[in-house]
Amino acid sequence: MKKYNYGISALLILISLLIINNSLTMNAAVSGTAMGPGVWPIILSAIMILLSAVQILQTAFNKKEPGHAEPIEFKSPGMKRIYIAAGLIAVFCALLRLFGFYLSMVFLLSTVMYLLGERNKVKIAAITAGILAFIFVVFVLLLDLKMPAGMLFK
Amino acid sequence: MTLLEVIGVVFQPAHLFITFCGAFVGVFVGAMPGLSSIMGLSLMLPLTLRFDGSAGLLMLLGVFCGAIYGGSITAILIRTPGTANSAATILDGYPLTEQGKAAQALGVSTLASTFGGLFSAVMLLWTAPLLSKVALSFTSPEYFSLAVFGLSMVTSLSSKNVTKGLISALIGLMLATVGMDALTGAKRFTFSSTYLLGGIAMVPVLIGLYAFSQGLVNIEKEDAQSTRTSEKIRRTFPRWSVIKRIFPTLLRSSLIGTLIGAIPGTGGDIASWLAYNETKRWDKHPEEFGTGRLEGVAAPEAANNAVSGGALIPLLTLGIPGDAGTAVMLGALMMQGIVPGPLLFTNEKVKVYTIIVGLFVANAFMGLLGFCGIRLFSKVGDVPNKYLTPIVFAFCVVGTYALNNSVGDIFLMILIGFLAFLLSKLDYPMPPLILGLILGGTLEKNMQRSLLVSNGSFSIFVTRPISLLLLIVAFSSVFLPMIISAVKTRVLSKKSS
Repeated sequence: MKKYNYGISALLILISLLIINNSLTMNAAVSGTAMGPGVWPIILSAIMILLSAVQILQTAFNKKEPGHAEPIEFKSPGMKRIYIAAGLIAVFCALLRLFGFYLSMVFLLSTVMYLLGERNKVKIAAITAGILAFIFVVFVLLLDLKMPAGMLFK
Repeated sequence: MTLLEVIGVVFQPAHLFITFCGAFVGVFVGAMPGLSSIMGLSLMLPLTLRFDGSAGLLMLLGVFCGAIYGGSITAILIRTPGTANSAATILDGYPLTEQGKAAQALGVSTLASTFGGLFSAVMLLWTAPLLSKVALSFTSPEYFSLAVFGLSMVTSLSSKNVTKGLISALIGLMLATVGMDALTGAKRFTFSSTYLLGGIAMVPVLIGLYAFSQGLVNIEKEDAQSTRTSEKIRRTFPRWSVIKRIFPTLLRSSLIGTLIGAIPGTGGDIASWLAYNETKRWDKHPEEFGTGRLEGVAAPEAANNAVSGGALIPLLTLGIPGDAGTAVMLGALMMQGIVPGPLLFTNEKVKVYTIIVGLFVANAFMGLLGFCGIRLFSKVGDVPNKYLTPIVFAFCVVGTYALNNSVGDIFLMILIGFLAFLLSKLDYPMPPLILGLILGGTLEKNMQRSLLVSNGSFSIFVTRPISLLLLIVAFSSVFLPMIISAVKTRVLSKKSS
């Protein structure tokens, strides 16, 4: 856990410094107000830097938190499924943009079911169709929601 | 007159049906291990925004009440709590199932949940108008301090590590600064994107944090085959002798639940454990607890459902959510154009009493569903993860899109979902983040107003007694546990050396 705490603290300090830098340019107090638009982000960033420093110190001096305890096991079977899921979701996002909601959903639902161990193609098809039919009836027919059509079908 | 008017609104057939549907979805979500009440609320929120008037609010109340109760079903039947609120119910609920008394345990759980919910609704109806009168004297500095107080309580209580809880809250507060500044109209951190001009939308963040990330957790765990219920459920309504026996437990636990719920930062899990322990302590045979005592089921269930009404007390009167679930309710109310706070009781009487009366009806429907539909709900936990997770993803996408018809919202939700998945693994709690996002605007707006009144002097926050008191409590709740822990460590290390 230690290396993650250090890494996240460093990242948060960096982001906070960037926010302060950006806020200083917008901060010229607008006349009639006691507080310009940049003051609040600067206050928050300053507290974030302070807390990140506290986290670094806590991690360094905390003997209870051993360095070898891994909160994320990157090579575990579970995390491997997460990487595949992340890839599938990225493809889904691209398909959503190109082909719209229904085709991209067919891809996402069937591949996630396959990833989680369902090998029966009839079941995959039936459940995918069932979910999409439910969404169509409730959201499109009853609630009049227009699903994204995709660039190719616009 | 207002109350009669409200009863007329809530008891319209369409509104009753919508509340019933909400309670049904709530019990369903609660009974499904891997889905949480907050997830159910987040997913239903965009749907409810498409309804007119009070209908959306009533549906959310149904989900809110139903989900807390639903968690007990799988806790009793398969030793897996549907939500964290029902973890204590396992202790005596599952042994009763092993003894072939699952129906009795489920009956007591349903009765206790309904009693707890109705009790807290009465307390809400009684105390909220009184508290709102006190809160009417609040001005900007008090509201600022109140928001700090709410944030500090949730932050300090929801995390194993206070620093990580505070960092999480700050991330939420920082996200709330994106978009146009409310007072000056200046653009902040929009990166020339028109999408970010309106700020970070709350619904995609909520769904990403609580629903999409849970889908990822389910993928990581896989667990393709869930535990199946083998018990056949028949008569569930408890006998009169049982009701008489557990009545003192119901009363005591409901009171505990309401009080705990009214303290910002607590929640159903704390209330149910506390009620269980108190019941055990007051019982003549505490050694029998854990072996299948009906009081051991009644106490946590009455307490965790009583939290629903208790948590609405600070929400409606002060605009401070009691827990993550009520934080979602706060967001929902704001999106419906209702700003919780003391003025709500004078300006929006009909709406506020609709919520209170709606809570009664939602609890009644929850009880009805529990007694009549228990056979159906007891099978909900049998749905394997391989079907559940894709369904969750589908509803995340549709729920997010339904709000603004924006594909950008879907991408934001997915991004937040992955971020929440990683942050949760690193022990950063999510409730402070969402509270930071919700309360960020209130904090900044009231700080700006206060400083305008005081000509830029920060002393305004410490020279007003109520504001000072709230700040002292807020800082104590954050720093006291740290100091106590540091002192303890030092004492222990001195002793060992």
